[in-house]
Parts: sequence; structure tokens; C-alpha cells
Amino acid sequence: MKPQRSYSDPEIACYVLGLDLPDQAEGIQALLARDDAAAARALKWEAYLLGIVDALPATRPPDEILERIQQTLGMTFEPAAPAPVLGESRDRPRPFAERTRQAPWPDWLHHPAWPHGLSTLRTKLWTKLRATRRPSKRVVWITAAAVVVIVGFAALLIGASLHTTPRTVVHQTVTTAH
Amino acid sequence: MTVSVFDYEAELSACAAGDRAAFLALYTQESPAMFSLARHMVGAAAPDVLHEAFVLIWRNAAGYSPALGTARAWMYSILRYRALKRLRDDRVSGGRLADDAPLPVLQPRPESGVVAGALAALPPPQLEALLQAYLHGGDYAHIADRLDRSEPDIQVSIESALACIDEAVCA
Repeated sequence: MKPQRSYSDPEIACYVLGLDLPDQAEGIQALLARDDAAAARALKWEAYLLGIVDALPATRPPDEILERIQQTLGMTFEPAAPAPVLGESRDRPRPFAERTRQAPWPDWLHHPAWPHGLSTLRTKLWTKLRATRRPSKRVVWITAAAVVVIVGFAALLIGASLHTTPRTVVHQTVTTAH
Repeated sequence: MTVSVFDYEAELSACAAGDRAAFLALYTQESPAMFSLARHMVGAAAPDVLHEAFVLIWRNAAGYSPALGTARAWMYSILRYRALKRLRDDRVSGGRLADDAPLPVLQPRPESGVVAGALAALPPPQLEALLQAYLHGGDYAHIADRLDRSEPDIQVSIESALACIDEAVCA
């Protein structure tokens, strides 16, 4: 196995800056893919260099670009593709973001008490659950209104059944003592 | 660094959960600066680069971890990778996309903090070399050629500029 060398902060800075470093690029990419500390150093430099971006006058992009983006992403958003940049190797699919991508299920689903055979099922269920899009505000309001109406009716019915109406009304003559 | 109340981390996390409103918020917030950067890097190809970057940002939002750095830096690392790749491909095919692009004049804003101050304080030859590398990529020889300077001079300038920025931030 090829020994993995480490890289100094200035070397990582030069890589992030955009310099072509033929004898180092591959090694740095591999390092960023496996070492969170190195990846954090790279993002630190990316953040420093945003000082250049902030010193450029901003330009509003044409509206067509957003339309193209939405068109590309479509109505049903697909699961993540191979990751980019710090995660995007310059010559091959990017392992960094894949590696750092959070597991699509919460920790409790990892509990060893789960039978092994259910692992696929639980993964599928959770992935489906996460893929379910949030309902629109309109749907939420309509649902809430329906629930209120149903609960109201139920309360009225329960109230009516509890309140026993006297079967016979006895009219008494009230004699007032003078 | 810009001091902003916009919560990039929260919006990016929401994108990872499939929140389109968060994606639009990110686009609205950052696309003008990203488009400006893309134009300075690849000129007419800027719309394509911005398009690619935001598609990747959406698809890979779940891959971002706040423990590694800021969400804004993560987004720019995507954009710049796409732009630098185009420049590299252009160089390989004999194009002169970077060579013909003039360097912009920076307008550091006070709210941009210590990095803006450090950039403003850099000697012009260092700033020039740094900007060439950041905006147009290439190796030391390419940058030396573009700026009509020697390769060792460019290397020293870039290393000094990076050291100045690091010192300013860490001071």
C-alpha cells in the first residue's frame, strides 16, 4: 500500500486557492476524502478567500438560470449525486461528501435489538418517509379546520348525551307568602 | 468575512431535508455574488457554472457538515471547483479563457472584516498573483506567463499573500 503523506496548511491553501499542483493534487484530494481535520482546514481557507468574493461588485444573474436549475432538478428531487468540490475529486467521483453524508435514519434505528432481517425494511421505510415532501400550507390549514370541525361535533354529541333532559316538567304553582 | 444574519447553515440543512423554500432563499441570497465571481472566472460560461453549482448544492446538501466549516464556504468550494475545471479543460484544449480576462479591481467593504483589511494591505504584486490564482487557476508557470513575471517570483508572492491573510485572521 502506498504510504499516505500529510500536507502542510500552506500546501492545502495553495490547492484551495486553485493552483494546479500536478504532483500534489491527487494526494491532497485523497487526504480531504479521508481526513475531516484536513477537510476543515480546506474549508477554512475557502472561507478566508471569500474576502475576495466580498470585494467584488455583485451581479444579479438572469432569471433564466433559476428556471434552468428548477428544470434540471424537476418536480421530484432526486437523491444526492456524487458530491462536489472539497468532496469533489478533480478526476473522479467525489468521496468526501458521500462519506460525510449523514445516515438517512436516526440513531435509534441502529439499535442492535432490531432483527437483522428488518434492516432493509427499516432503511426503505425511513428513506421513503424522508422523501415525502412537506404538505403545503393550504393543505395544513384545511386539515386543521377539518379536525376542529370534527372535534367540535364530537364534543357537542358527547355533551348532548351527558345532559339528561327531564322527561316530565312539573309545573308548580308558587305561592308567594304575603 | 462578511457579517451576515442570513443563516446559511440552517438553510442548507433545510435543503438536505428537501425544503425548496430554503433552496430558493439560498439562491436569492448568494447567487448575485456567486454569479459575479463566476463571470470573473469564466466569463460567458458563468450561467452554466452557476447552474451546475446550484444543482450540486441541492443534490449534495446532506453531505455538508457544520463541523467542517461554514456553509457559505462549502457552497463556494462547489462553484469554484466547477469554474476551475472549465478553465483547466479550456487550457488543455488550447483555449485562452483565463489569459484574456482582465483582473477585477477589488472594492473591500469595511464589514468584510479582517480578510478585506489584509487584502487591501497586500503589496500589488502579491495581490495580483493571488487574484490570478484564485480567479483563473493554472500553475505557477501559467500565472507567471499571464503576468509577465518569473515563476519563482509568482510562487513567493502567492505564499506571502496567503501567509499575510492567515496572520491577519489569527491575530
